[in-house]
Amino acid sequence: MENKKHISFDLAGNKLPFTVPEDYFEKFALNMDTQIAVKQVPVFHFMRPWMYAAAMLLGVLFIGKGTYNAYQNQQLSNAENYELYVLSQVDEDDIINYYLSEETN
Amino acid sequence: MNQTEAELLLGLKNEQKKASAFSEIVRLYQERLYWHIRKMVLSHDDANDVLQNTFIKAWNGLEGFRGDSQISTWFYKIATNETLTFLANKRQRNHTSMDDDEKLMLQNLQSDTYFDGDEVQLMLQKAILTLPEKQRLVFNMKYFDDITYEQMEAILGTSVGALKASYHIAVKKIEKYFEQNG
Repeated sequence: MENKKHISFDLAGNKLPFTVPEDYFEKFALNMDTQIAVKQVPVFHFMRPWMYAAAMLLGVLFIGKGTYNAYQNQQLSNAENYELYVLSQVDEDDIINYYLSEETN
Repeated sequence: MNQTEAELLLGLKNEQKKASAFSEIVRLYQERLYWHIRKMVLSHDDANDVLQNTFIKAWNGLEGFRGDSQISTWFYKIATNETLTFLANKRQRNHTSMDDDEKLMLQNLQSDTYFDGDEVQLMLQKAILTLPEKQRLVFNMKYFDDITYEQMEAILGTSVGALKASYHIAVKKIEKYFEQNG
């Protein structure tokens, strides 16, 4: 009966049991060169800080205008509500008599 | 930092020379980083993806590299983080646990075109896969690459003492695996 061969850790060695496709590393390096070339930002790099500042200013103006419009609408709404409130406190007959007296005068 | 690394660092900080310096770095470190990644992910295709991600991340993060560590250490750190992120994302995509993922990796390894190990080497890879991820990293870096504990400390951010203990335990586990399965 054949004895099963005992596999020991000592026999493993430290050689890696992996391979790569032919010319893999040459091709990889060339591929990375291409990817970097695409990612490179050309001449306008120095303009970036100014572009950020301009974008921030536009953002502030846009938000400011929106806030001011909302405030104006609120004021208008408040004025209309106040007018309606005042009218609701006055009797309808009194309003009619007022306008009639204006006509006769 | 040696002269080559110092020259490369200067190149990276110069807008006109940045691309060519980086290209040189790719050629200088790609193999070392590839095998570092490959030992963890096992598959060539996965290693290729992670290696690309590593270099792209490094390129995009060049302005953040202050030169307070060696360039090689910095690249190893990025490669290690990208590898661990890749493995975690893979588990999430496949809805597998670490154990299931290891079984899957082992199955793929045995049928992989780019695996040419013998019976003993296959058993070693099986044994390594039983280790927790971080311990696997430590074992691989010490056993296959003979990276010093001090270099490992810089890359992994773990103390030398903890790394030595981790490696010692890993070896014991692997020896036990061989005794039980060899």
